[in-house]
Amino acid sequence: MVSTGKKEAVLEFRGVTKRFGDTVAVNALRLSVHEGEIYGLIGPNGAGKTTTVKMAAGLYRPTTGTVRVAGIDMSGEPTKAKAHLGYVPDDPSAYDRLSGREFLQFIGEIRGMDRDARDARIEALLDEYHIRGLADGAFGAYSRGSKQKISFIAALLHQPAVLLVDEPMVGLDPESARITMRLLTEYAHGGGAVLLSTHSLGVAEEICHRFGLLKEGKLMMEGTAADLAARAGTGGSLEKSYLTLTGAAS
Amino acid sequence: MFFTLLRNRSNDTLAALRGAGWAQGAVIGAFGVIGIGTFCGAFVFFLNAFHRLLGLEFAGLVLTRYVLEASFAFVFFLGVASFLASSSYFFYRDEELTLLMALPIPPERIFGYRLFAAAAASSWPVALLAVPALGAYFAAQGAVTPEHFLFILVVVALFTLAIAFCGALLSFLFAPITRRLPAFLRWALETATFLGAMVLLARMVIPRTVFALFAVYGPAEAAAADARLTAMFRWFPSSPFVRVIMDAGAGSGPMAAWMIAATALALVMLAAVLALLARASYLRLWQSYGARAFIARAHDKEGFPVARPRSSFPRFFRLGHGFLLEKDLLMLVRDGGEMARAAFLGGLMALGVVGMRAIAGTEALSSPQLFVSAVTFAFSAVTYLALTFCMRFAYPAFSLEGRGAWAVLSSPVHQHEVYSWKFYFWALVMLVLTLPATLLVSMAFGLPYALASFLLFIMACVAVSIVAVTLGQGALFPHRRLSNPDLIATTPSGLAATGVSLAYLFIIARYVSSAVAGYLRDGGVPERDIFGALVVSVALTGGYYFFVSRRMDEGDLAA
Repeated sequence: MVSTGKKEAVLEFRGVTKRFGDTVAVNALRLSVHEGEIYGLIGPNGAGKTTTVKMAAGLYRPTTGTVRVAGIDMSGEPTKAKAHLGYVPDDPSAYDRLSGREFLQFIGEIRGMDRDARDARIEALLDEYHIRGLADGAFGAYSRGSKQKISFIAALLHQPAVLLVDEPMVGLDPESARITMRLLTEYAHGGGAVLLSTHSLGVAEEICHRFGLLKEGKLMMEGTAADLAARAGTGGSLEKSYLTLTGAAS
Repeated sequence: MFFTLLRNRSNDTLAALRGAGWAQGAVIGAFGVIGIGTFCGAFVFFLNAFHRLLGLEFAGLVLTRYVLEASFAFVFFLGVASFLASSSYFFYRDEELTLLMALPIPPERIFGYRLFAAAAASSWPVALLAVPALGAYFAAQGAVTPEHFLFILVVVALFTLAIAFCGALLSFLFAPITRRLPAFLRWALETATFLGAMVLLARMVIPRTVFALFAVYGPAEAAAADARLTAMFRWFPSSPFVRVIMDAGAGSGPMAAWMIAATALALVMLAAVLALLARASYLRLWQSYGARAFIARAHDKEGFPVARPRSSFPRFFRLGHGFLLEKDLLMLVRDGGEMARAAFLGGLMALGVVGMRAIAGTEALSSPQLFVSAVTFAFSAVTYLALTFCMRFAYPAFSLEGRGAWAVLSSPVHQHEVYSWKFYFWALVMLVLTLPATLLVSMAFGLPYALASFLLFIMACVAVSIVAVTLGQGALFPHRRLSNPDLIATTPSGLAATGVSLAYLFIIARYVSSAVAGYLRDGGVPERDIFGALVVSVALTGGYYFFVSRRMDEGDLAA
């Protein structure tokens, strides 16, 4: 995937550190995601990827540093900043007793969407995944993949400026994974910015413009897949670069 | 294999106890103290009773037998009911079973292991009532030798096994019926069966007139009364145990030993039947319990008619952030298990009100002091149940918000809005629950209009205040990694919420008591009591509401 070129940064981490007691989960993180860019956050388990995404979503408050969404400080004006965000969590479970459609309508309400526009958008996105037929089933009765799709639709519903996605492919069948990749790409083409945390390196290599490699809370390096390959000296796939750079190959 | 599983289980339990925080330790300690207190109280009660009864010339042994028969029948009933209530968890729903069933272990062995765990869990009536009764009986008879202790141990072990085996047999009979029932229907069925059996037991073992059974003035009447007792309890599996105990207490050692051997043999045969049943059907039953359909179809089939969207959300609360309230309402009313638990607590409240009606009808309340105490007690009982309800439902509301609450927390809504709408919702629920109960209490005691109005007003304050405290504490200290509301309620902040609420309820009870006494004395509710209760309630509600609202948007939102 080639770079989209320099555009305005809509998601920025400025020297962000997050501590949980004595544990430093994220250490002095500086990164930015620009309009029209899909930024892949990769790294081993415990590297701080989910913590980073949760800070961007406003679920965690940085110990030091600031997270800015569309130029708005998440800690200072969280409600304004969150209005520009869509978030797909690593565990897509939510309200078991609402139907998928009710859940999406609830998200539309909480994001202040006009009801007619909300319903039209829901139907359109359900059609993208061809899952209109299951939208009236109870959310708690869905398989993980179905929950994942509904959560994805919920994140895209209000056409946010920034999309935060934590492990989007878990539980999806290959066809749905393809649809998700297409939706992400189209979203970025439309000017949206995506921060994608994932272990699915094949998928990331295919759709991400740039990567950030996190290890033990620190951003070890960032760049395109080619940059990572050059740094690793492998010249091969993203997976090879990853294994070499994280020391997992040895 | 059996002992390995058992050792593993007990190690797990010990580790959980060691790892419990101070709050859970305090709760466990409190239950321990209550258990020891109940044991000691029951022992002293039975010892006094048996000393007095055995002192009677002819009626002594008959009355002692009646007390033992009735007590053991009650313990047996409670034990089996407790076993049945927990059996679906122990035999079918415990997550450990998923691992065990995948291992090459015969299902009857797994069943035996789970039977042991279920028997231990349902042995509390034996420990709290049967053991003190047995110990007191032998102490009253002066039989306190090591042989008697050994005898008590054997009888208690066999009696516990008898309860467990009967419970297991019944659970096998019920499982094919109950496994398909939704949670709320299962709860309703179990509660109805329990109450029905309780009424039946009371009708069977409580004589209509005492004289019909126990007018014993000589050996002939004693023998006749004993025969009536035999007829009365002949269908109770606890009766053979009482005969063994009576024989041993009366010095008929060989006869007791024979009867114990016969009872043990009967239990071995019952165990064999259970093993056969387990081998034939346990695995199949467990599989059918665990099998749940979930919606996984990835795509709408082509040409398959797509259902028209059902009604739009929100339907009822369409203004402002009312959809937050409607979401909570739907989540509650659509959850059969939670509704059943709410109905159970509501039923307890109704049962309490019926009991108060009975108290209110007695002549003992002709004394003003007793009347004041009774009204205060009745009012406090409703407030206590309301607190129990709040701790079970309102306190964990933030911790259990949509599995990690990511949908709400990552949305552009102020968290104090979420808190406010939850507050309105639970305050409304508590008002709906407590005000009719208070009205019924007022009617039961025939309270005048002014006093009844005062109680309703104070109850409204209480309902709103304890929601503010419990919901507020739960919002300030959410436990999003826990999914069990009972565990959430026993965290330090949960105990703090209980403590603050109890202190508040105590103060309110003082005002109620003072107001009722004042009304009886002067014919009007003293203004200082109205204002006092109001000021305390407003201060507590306002304090929590504003403090929580200010703190909600600070710090980490997700745990």
